[in-house]
Amino acid sequence: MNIFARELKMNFKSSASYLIAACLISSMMMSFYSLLQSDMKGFMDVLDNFPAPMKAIMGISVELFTSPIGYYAFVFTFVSILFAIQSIGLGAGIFSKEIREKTADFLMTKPVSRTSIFTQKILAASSLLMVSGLIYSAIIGTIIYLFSESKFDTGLFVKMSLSLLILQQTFLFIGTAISQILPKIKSVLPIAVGIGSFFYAISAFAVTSDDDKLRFLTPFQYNRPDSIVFSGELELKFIISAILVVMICTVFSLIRFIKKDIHSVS
Amino acid sequence: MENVISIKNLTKYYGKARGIIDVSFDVEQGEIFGFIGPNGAGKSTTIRTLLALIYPTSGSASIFGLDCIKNAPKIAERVGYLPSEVFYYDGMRVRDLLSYSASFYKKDCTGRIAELSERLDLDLTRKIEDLSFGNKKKVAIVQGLIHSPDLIILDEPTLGLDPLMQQEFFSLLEEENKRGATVLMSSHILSEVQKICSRVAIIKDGKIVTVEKISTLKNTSYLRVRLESDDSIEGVFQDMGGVSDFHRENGGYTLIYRGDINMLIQSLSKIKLKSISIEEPELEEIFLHYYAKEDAQ
Repeated sequence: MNIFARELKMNFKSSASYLIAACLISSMMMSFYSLLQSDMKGFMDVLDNFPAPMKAIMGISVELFTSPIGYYAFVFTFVSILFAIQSIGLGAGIFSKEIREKTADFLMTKPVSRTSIFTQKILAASSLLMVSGLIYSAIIGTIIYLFSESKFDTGLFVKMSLSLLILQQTFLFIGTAISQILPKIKSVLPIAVGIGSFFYAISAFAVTSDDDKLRFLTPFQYNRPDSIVFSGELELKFIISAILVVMICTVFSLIRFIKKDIHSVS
Repeated sequence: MENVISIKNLTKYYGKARGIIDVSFDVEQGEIFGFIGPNGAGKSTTIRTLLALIYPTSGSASIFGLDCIKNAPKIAERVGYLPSEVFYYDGMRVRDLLSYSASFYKKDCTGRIAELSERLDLDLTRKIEDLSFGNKKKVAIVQGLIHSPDLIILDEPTLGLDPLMQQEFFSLLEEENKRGATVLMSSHILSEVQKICSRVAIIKDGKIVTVEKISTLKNTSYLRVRLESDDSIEGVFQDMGGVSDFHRENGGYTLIYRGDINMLIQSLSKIKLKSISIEEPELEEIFLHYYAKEDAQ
């Protein structure tokens, strides 16, 4: 598990930065909630004037804002984009980095199979995201709890946190698959932002369209927090869909990784 | 003698571009084998296929009797590789990199790291990104040898090493060889191959031109003849077998001869000579001669 440990170490700082950024954005936006509470009626009137498609895209729902956890569902819309970019970047970065920084020769001439390299790298990335998601959820959960006083719905929050983990893992494997298609990734961040924006655009299109099937095309729509708040449940069909995306991306990426020629650096 | 490396009709195309075509040769247990050819001839492609970094289009290669592609991790346990250009993880110190490298082998390499780094005058506390190219190359040498490999594969190994360090490196290789390690070394610098190798494969345009012992390549069957004469001597050598590279040079004539020395002397006796020198050619000249011969064909 030496590659696993090395990947954890190499990606720790970047993961910590994303975690801090997500916590700051969420806690800052949650701090507005107390201000909104003092003039909830005025705020609702403003929201009512927003065009319906815009409200749908941004996850704004007047009914949601009556509770801290409902308001958090709106906050989550923004944070999910950040986590998606992190996950895609991590998935694409752990493999493309070795080629970009020309260290693949070192690693791949060691007595370790390509399958093992792939497994250790993807496990490290997956673990980092999982730990980030759990720490983030613990911090934000505490903040929401403080706002909610006695009305904090633990079950609902756990389900929302699970939806975050699903989103992170799905995008991680999508990022990995894309890194196996693109011949040489010079910089990961623009790719991650581009892919994240692409899936977010599909998501915007899906919520404004009448066709519910479009929701299967983007992980942003798999168990949206606002849907969880309304229904109180995670939708099984989207959990299965996420598992399928992860499985397909894993098989595809592994085959490509094993079959890939590692070209000379000069 | 048992073959450590056995390459059979190995071919690699990158799309439509030629990598190597029908490359076949063996490297025997305990020898230092040179693999020479100009840049782009296919040396690195052959080595990268042996290391399973790239997949062959056709043909096969085995190391220690195991298929290079199917058994790559098992083979790698006993192989040390030194690439032509060295790249490592920035942010790591030399000690961390060497420990990381050692962690892949099922043996304690601590003593060997200390011994090799002291010998090559390598500072283990420095960060990789702060090292000069030559020092990075030293890291590569140490990390390639820390597990006392049975086969050492070197791709243009002296690139970036100063002459003193090259000397140290060659003596290190010879010691490894005495210990029992087999060495495959690619280079386009013939003098270094000549210095250390016992046999050599010459590659050109992706194809093996010849595989010979260095001693055979250099033996008296190849002679560089320089002569001066007032006679017109073109006719004497024009149709003579074994003569190549016949040309005028500095008011005299120069040629390379391969064959029976008595035949040469017989031909020379027909000429009224002003001066003559017959010497063993440099490997470089033999090498060029091989290329010229190939081109003519």
